Amino acid sequence: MEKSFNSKLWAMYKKDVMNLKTESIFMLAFVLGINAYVYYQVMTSDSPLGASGYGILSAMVVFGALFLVFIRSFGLVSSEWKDNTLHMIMPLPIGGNTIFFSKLLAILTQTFMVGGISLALTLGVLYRILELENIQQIFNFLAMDSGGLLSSNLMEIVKMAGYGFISFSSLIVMVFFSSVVGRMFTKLSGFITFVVFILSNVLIAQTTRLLDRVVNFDQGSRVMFLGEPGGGMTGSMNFMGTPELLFGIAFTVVISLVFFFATTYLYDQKVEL
Amino acid sequence: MIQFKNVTKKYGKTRALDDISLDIGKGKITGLLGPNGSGKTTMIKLITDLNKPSLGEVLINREPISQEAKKHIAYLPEIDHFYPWMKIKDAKNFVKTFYEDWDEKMYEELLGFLELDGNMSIKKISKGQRAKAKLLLAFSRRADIILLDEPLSGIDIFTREKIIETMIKDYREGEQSIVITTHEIKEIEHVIDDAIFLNHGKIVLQGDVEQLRAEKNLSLVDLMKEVYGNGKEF
Repeated sequence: MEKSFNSKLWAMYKKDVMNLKTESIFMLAFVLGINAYVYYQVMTSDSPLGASGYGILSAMVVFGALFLVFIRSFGLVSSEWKDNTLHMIMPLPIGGNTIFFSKLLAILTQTFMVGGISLALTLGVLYRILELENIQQIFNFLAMDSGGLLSSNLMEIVKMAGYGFISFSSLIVMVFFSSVVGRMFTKLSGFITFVVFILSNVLIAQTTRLLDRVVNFDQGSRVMFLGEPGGGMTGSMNFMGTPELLFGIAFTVVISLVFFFATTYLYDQKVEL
Repeated sequence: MIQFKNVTKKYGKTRALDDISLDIGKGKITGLLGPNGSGKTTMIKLITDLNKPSLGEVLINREPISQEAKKHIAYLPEIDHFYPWMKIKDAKNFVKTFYEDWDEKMYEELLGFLELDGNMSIKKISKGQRAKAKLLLAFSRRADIILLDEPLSGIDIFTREKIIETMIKDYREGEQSIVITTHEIKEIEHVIDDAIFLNHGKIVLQGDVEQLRAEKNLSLVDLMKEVYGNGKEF
């Protein structure tokens, strides 16, 4: 019976999730440790940082955990060479599309798991350590900018989170691309990976600027992309309207697809042990 | 079945294979023989698509190597290629997902024959058991082509015998092709039908084993000594 694409993808995905399992546990232990430390300090001592300082530290852990996921995504590709597991993967009757799509899904699963648990822990700790008055101040701050409409600003946060997720996926695809290009060279593979990653980000930033001029969105609501100064590592947006948001998503998706198919082409046609 | 057409493979300035042309016939056990660095493993890697030829082409059933061709190839590498978290049953469940020719009954039979247990953690078992585990995965399929890269390397004599027994146990003569690379010729001499002797990336001698033995009046081991000991090309 012909083996289905889904069953092959599922097998690859399970394998990649298992490869990330140990480091995910370490990341969660790290997050749990920091949050436990913060909680203990605030509850038991007169620390110079104060509750707000520890609250910020706790919130930074969420971004720290996501940054670790991003850094380790380089390892998910290179470990196939390092551990000789490529001898198991390359002879399989599947193409680079399945191999890299499953890796992307596995990393996104790790992101949701590590990021989600970190966020839940941080919110829990913040809730416990901040005074009710402080929490009300935060909500007031969120409501202030949109003339008292809290739900409107919450919607912006949801939009930012969605766009951030797409940008993060795009970033992982670029990690794959640069890792595969790096692996085409036997010497200085790691250095070439790093240079290609930086150059592709610069290229995208330049293309973004060009497109931005062509489309000419209102500067107050323009989109910032990966690698662009002020855009940050995962990209961000500044209270975008729907057209700008759609444009940003479409551009990021197209760029990601181009890099993804370039990656799988190079893997299928050029990459060797 | 497997064709090399003027294949050259270079790693930097080193020529691992130098303008090789040959046909590996269907339904035979073929030995790729030669000392370290002669090009045996490179030939296997080219058939599995782990490496690409620098020049020339490798064909399977007259077609370039493709995903379709890979469905019919079982490959046993010399090095350990399992993921560290895998138990034998995890490796089995992973591999069987990709091949229609997986034979679960054969797997169960071989598991017992090779004295392995599905719950064994691959990371924790001995080198001999890992060699058996690789063999288990390759021979639990009814693949048309089985490629064995140094399956006897660094393995004790009892395990070697078990490996060779496994090779011939369910071998479908005339249908299945087995290509085995080794420099342990003595152990496989009685098993292989065709021999290809390689040296410095070139074929120095090839042919039907019975015929070679009769023509030269030498065993394969002595033939190998002749070829490599004297540096003589036949």
